[in-house]
Amino acid sequence: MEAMEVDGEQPIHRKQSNYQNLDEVFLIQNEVYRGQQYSHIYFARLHLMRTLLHSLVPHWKPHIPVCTILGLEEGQECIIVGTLYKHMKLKPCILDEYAKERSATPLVNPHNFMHADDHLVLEDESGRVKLEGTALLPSAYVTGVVVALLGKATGAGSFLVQDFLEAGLPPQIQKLPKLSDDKYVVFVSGLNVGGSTTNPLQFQLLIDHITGHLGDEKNLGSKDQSRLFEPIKELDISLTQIAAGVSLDLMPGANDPANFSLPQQSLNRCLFPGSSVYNTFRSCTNPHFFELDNIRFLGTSGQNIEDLEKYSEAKDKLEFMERTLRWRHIAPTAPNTLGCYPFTDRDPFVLESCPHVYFVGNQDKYESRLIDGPEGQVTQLICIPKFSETGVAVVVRCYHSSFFTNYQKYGNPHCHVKPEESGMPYAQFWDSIQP
Amino acid sequence: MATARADMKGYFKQKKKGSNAGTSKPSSKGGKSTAKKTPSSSASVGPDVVQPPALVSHHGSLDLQDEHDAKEEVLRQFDMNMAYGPCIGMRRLERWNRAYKLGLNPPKEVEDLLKANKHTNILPQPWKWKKANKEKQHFILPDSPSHTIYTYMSNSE
Repeated sequence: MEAMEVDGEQPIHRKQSNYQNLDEVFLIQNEVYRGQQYSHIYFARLHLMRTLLHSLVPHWKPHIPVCTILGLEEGQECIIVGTLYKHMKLKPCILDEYAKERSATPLVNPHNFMHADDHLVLEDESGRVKLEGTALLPSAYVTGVVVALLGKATGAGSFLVQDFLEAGLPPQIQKLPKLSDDKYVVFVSGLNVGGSTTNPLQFQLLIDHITGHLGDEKNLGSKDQSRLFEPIKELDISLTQIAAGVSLDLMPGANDPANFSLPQQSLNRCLFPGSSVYNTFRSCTNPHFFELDNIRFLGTSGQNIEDLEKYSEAKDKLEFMERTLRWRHIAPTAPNTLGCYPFTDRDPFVLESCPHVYFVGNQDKYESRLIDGPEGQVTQLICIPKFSETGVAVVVRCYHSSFFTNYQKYGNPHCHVKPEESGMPYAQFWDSIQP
Repeated sequence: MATARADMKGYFKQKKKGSNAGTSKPSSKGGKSTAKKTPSSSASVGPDVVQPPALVSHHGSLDLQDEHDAKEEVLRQFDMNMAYGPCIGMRRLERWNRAYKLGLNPPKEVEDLLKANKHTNILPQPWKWKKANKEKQHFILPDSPSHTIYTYMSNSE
């Protein structure tokens, strides 16, 4: 608890929250690698999702039988359940390097590999079948999604899809709790500490704002400048300032010194000798799942959404995020195009419960939307922009039973008002962040 | 990645002592031989030279005799059962535990056999199993949604 005096008024105490870390499912330390390949994670995923879909099918199409792919009979209407595979012409393939005839290397667009000729294939343990029809658009799907399909087998050996069923939003363990006070959670991502174009002043402003030292010039004096020769040390100094006042969770990202494949394990505490002393500092996995005062937060550092963007299209990033929730899988392209640990008996990215807040970091801009599900689930989707490029952090205000999400831009003289200048006491300043 | 294993011998054309390294089918006389039978229509890659001493990974074993009893047969049937998922890359007991955890009701008999005979809790290597009788072996189906399909076929002799 931190008492802070504002111009001689009553000290303001920082509010406490009950925090529970739910990252156990993403830990790898108990896994043993024996040279297994990825078939096992696909089997676990298919089994979990198929059991779920089998329970939903009777409500969806009550009188139609479910059959295996190898058991398909021509012309008979039935339902098949399996994993989607999207055949993409432009997807880079390692075998191309060994092709006997090599024409000039085609220009591969690194941002998106879609093509009008992409088609979907459904696969289960017995076999695979090519999908036809307009019910399932290849542009909206990726390899690794498990769905149930209604249709019939054609004479040509493919399956004409008439309708499809996705798993849908998972159940929400509990409704959004009513909070008596308002509390705030700040999300920052893409700090790029030590980067050549990064302005350290922006992050310092953010730290000052969060820790309530706004306008205080004591924090980063000139004597500290000489020690800023290693980005990680610079980061530790900044994080120590934050950890001294507020609870802090740190997640690794794509360019951080953590393992490459998902789930990324937590950054080693030895990298943060200053901040790890505080019990408010937590180094977490990516994806990160936690509960704050019974509100469930789930988020990633962006790799899952970036990968979806390469292999499918949507009107905005929030739509990709919504799709992952409705597919009940936060990283369906793993392990196909997204690095992933070869789990043998589980798939940790399958969603068991619906979070209240679902966030993704390292995005281009701030975006936010509320979505709901058929059983009353409510989830706030948030895209957190890269701080080093935009100077924007996201603040989620949890008040009563709703969220107010807004952003704070640091470094722009037009958008930022210091509490001392506004004449308001600190607590009231926070109120001025309107939804 | 998996180390080179003795099973890779199955992909290379074998050379028996005294026979020419050609496309001729090796004879299948006798139950035991020190060289493996060459699957005549398998995907063969590699040079036609005498094989160096087999590289054995720390999990594998040189299965030269391939005599197996009824217990091993039960375990092999468990391995081949697609309902419990892919068997390659997992020890049998781990796979049984996974099947149990996923609610697939694997046979208790298999668990008992594996716990009683620790040496049977191995990483199964189906490509090394000899056929019990002269029947066509079934396909080992692709077990991941990827483009490459391993097809293992063997003609009856």
